[in-house]
Amino acid sequence: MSQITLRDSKPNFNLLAIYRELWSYRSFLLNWTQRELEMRYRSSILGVLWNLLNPLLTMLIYYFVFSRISRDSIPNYLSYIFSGLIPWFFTAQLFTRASDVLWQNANVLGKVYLPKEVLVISLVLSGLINFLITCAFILPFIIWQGQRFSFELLWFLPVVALHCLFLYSSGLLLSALGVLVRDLGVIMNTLISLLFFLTPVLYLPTQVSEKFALIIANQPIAILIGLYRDVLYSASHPNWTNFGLCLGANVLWYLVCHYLFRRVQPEISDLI
Amino acid sequence: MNETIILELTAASKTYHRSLDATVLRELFAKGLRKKNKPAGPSLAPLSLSFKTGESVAIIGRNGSGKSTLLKMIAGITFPSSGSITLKGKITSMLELGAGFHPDFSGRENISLNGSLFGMSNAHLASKTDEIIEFSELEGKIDEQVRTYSAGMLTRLAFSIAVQADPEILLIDEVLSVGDIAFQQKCLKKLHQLISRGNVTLILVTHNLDDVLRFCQRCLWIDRGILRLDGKPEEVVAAYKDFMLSEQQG
Repeated sequence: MSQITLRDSKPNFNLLAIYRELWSYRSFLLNWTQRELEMRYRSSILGVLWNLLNPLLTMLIYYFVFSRISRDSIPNYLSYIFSGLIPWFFTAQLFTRASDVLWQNANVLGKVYLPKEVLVISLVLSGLINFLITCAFILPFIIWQGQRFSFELLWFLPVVALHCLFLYSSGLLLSALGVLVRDLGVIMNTLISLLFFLTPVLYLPTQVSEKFALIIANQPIAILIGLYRDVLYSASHPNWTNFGLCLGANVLWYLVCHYLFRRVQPEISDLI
Repeated sequence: MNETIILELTAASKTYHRSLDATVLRELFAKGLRKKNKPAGPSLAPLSLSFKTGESVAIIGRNGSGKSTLLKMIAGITFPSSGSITLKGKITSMLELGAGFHPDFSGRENISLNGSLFGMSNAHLASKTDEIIEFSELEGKIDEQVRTYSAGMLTRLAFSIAVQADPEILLIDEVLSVGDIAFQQKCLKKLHQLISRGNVTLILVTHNLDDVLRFCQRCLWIDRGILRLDGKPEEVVAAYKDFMLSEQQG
């Protein structure tokens, strides 16, 4: 027996029904994600390899620049920046693409029914795959730079999960905003470079003035990167307070973002 | 014959609003903020309809009358502005040429993308791919990029995928007219087969009145967003023809 679907103008925020429907699109999600990964480099000579080469080359540039800069204040400076840069790239890429994802796929969304969350999930998934591949190359380097290997490194996985939840929620919000306010896509790059400097990727949170430090201490991406650093750079467990707060705040943030996404969905559908 | 209602519209209407952009803002300021931005008028007036399992229904009407809006609303691509739509089955829609295809990918790759978009699982797709290719008669071109396909070839591929997706409600908007006569006949035959099995409900927007007469059990005529007539194809088509002719002369 097929399930009963009701379509009307009221926003539907029955999470159980939403995820049951999304689950039925899992084959599409996989095919689409595979397409995402292939698409950008389709006609280039090295093809999908670029997914890997691009971040590695960027890291290499950072390596050459920053290994020549005095780094007395931060021990293991390269591990320090890499453990911040990799999650940062994941974040920045998702923000940029999410703000544009519904527009770019208007060709599909305007003509075939598809729960729009699938596209955001697919962005997170393809970003995650690239992120994990990059990690596979950089993590040994970071561990080698640090002194020891410990099982606390396994805390990496829950931190990644938390990060993905944050990106999924923010991605939902940004994708909806990107349709309602077309200007968002235009200004996104600038916003992201602002965010980059508001996040202690290249510097220590303690190196900045007190007021600035206060912003940084409460900035979600900085907190997440802090958790990564606890695990990868300091080789310990994540700071429990931050981890707990981050988890709670993320669940709340997810509910807010997804609710707003569903709330504006009828308008969005007419705009794309 | 199963007489259950598979799809029901309850006073569903659709009004498109203009999106808020620089032009709208400028107008708002020019007119003064007190005047309300008036909507463009309803694309579809409140409409109550029900469709039974196994019915084949044609929707006719002139361009811009709201036929496609109705299909989009049923498909879930656009939301009703008021009222509601209840459905008890899987919808597969062919509303526009090459919808959901990616031009850079080959026909074969698009089969898995499009098929899963219609809710087919990858396992199911793997077993049906050959059948889809065979039906489309695109064997020689299936590994070429879809951007090189003609309109007719796109229709062939899209239709072949859609009928393999086990639809319970199949929505088709005028896309079949692009195919050549041989393929059109093949499609109609296939549709007839699906419908006579009694588990597919077909809703078809078309300008080919002969198809309506030959093929459908019921016909809706929509004009300017209002349902003018709902009944036997012969009667509705005759009334529609009379109306269109008198409009032209008058």
